[in-house]
Amino acid sequence: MNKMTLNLGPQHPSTHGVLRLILELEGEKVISCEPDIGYLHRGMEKIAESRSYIQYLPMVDRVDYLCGFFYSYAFCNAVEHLNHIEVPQYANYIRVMMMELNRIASHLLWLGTYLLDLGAISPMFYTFRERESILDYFEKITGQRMMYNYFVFGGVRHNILYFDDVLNIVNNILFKINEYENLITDNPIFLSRTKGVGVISKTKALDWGLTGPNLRASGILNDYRMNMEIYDDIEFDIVLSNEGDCYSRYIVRIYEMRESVFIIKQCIDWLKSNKVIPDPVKFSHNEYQKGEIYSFVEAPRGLTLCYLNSVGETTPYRLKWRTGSFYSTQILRDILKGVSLADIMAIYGSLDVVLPEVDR
Amino acid sequence: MNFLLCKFIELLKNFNIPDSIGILLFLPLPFFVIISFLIITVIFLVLFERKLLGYFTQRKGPNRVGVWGILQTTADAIKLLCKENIELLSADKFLFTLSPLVAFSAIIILWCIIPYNSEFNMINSSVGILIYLIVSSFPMLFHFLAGYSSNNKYSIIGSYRALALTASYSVPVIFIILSIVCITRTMNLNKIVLFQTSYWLIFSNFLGFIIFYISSIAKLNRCPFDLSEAESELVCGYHTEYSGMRFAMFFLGEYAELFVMCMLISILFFGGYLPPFGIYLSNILSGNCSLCRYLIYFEQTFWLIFKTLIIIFSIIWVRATLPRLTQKKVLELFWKYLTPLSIVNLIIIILMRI
Amino acid sequence: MNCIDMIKMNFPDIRIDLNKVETDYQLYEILEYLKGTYELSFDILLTIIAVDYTDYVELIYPLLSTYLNEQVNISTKVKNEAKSVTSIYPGAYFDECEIYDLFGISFTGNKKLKRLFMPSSWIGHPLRKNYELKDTRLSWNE
Repeated sequence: MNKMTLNLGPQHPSTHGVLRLILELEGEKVISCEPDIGYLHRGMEKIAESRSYIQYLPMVDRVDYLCGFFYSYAFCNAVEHLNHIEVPQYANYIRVMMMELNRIASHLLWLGTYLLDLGAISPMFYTFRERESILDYFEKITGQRMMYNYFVFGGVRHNILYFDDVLNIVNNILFKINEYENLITDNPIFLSRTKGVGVISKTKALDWGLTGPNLRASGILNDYRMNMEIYDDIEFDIVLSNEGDCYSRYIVRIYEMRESVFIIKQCIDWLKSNKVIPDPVKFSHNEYQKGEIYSFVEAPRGLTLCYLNSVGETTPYRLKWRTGSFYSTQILRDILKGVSLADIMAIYGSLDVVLPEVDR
Repeated sequence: MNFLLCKFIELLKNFNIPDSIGILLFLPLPFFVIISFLIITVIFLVLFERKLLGYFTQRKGPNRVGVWGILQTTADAIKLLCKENIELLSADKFLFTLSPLVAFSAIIILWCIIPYNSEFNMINSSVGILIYLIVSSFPMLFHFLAGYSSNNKYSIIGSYRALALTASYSVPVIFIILSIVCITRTMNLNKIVLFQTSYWLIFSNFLGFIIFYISSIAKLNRCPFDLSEAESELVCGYHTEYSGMRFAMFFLGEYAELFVMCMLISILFFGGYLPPFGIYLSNILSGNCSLCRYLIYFEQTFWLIFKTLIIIFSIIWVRATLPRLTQKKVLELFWKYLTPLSIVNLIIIILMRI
Repeated sequence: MNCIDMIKMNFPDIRIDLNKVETDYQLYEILEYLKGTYELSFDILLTIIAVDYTDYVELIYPLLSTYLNEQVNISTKVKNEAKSVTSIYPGAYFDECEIYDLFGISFTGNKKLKRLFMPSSWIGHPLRKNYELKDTRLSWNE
């Protein structure tokens, strides 16, 4: 049989951005796959070297526009550790609450677009409806819907929070998640598309550097929130699934959203009972310390690392982003071998890749 | 048809035009009626689907052009017809241009086979259902040729998928139609409708209806069987390279096919143009006046379209709910389950009719 | 026993910095040891960080152990060439390509090195400190 080379992308309805997959096909069967990235490369790391910390702060949200809070947090945390800035507990709880809301928004977007990849059109509109409520809340608090620029070194920009709004939003989402599950989880077509498709074994997942929900769906207990200081006083379960197929990645994310709601409620309880308005942090931007900081955060798409190397100048000497999607894209080289063309999108979609995060 | 012909000749006699010219003039008339009906229906069908999908997904659908967006698809169609035709240099120009034309005209022929009421049936053949089967395989064949000739990898994959699908859904369709022919003992669509005066065929052939319904969704290339134009995988399948007028032919043809297929379902299983309880509303309303006879025809057409729209509604509902199947699963569904079931269904019906 | 102590015991030549382990020539062996030893099993190579110090480039390998839930950073200094670790961690492939692309360091043992982000015809390696930013291709010509 003749081999055919198919260029999937960079402009393609379901590559979620501009990813090019160079596929070698035999009929509908994929012989090899080579992801070609870099179409969204904005040089985030190079830009950091020519901008002061404060100037770079608004840019970090743009590394991944779907979960900007996590990147803001990673960067702020790095700078705070570098300069030994104390963050008030109150601000930490606000940060956790915002990040978890952001995680729900990100997972909701993934859920909708994943089902769209599988050919179901309605769930996208339903999940966007709920995501909209979260974005509206973000807009109310931060003035922005996607690029928040809300976390600052030493805390958060404002602490005017509408707790009842958040409670309404998360309670509604908890109810709607059940609705999505009624529509999707037991649907025989959905099951046939996802069960046993794109299986990533434990060793494969580790070897290729998968993190986050994708790793937990392969049955490996690893959640960096366990190690993060700001999650110390918060109770939450880590969602695990053992099969490593698309269905487990789906179910892990569904249950993670529920866990996030649980975390948000704890934060609100704490914030409501500790109504202290902390003083704004005094922090001179001229005295930067030397040092290397590794700042980790568990983002919706995997473990995110912000490596900050400072030599005492006003600009970072080197800044490096480690993002989850970069490795989720890379694993396509391995797991797409031998699958059929129709399953490519089912597998690729289930990994929740966001291209700006890959290219940075 | 004869009744309409007589009326037409009588009308012309008032203007002193001889019979022979009247007959000649009458020949193309039903065709023009059908064509205009087709175009109007298709344009509003597209709007109907978009509106419905909008409401299914918490949106309003088109609501800017005209009142309630009623002119949206008209505007879209005009835009498509005015657009430039783009074709690849490496495409097979003859087939590339021919395919949409033939596919669309085959669908027009399908519309001519349908009995819209007890008088208006342009091709009233004794083997009407056979003609339908044969002609309805044309669009799929030319979809394949369209994909083949456009020299695009997505298109060719879509075409292969379409071919594989054609082979699988045709078999159950034929067996179900055979079972209907066994019950009604005729292949004439008009007679099949009239057979259902006392009861609809869905009651005596329910399993057949289910299989036929699923197969016709596959035949129409609609979700969850829209593998050959799976947007998330193949961009647009066989019509990826088409634009402008040629694309409009495929696009409108798809909806025309949807409507005519649903008309066929309502004719085969829901009594076609017969009213639901055998009572014509116009009979009750207008008593026994001479106008009543004409009103009945319109009422029959109304019932046919009404039933058709309900079936279309259900198909759109399916589209709004289900994800897409993979080719492997589709072939499995048709060859492992629906084909044997349809054969069993046929055997049972034959045994009952002996 | 602390994992850094264990590394120190097996590889006495290393230097231990505040939050990283520095090695001059034993990087490959250390990574092999860290992944292969059951009590440690540092099974995820998170990324490879390259820092250009003009006269040399430092490569930092942050590792994560899902077994211990610990994190350790191994670093080494290279000039223009380094040994590929794709045979231990296949996931290092994209990272090595990225460093090859942005820093111009070639990895021996990685046969499919390619420019990952920049076009293949791009001249220079952007994240190097001596990279000329006044490239005409970077300015917007209107």
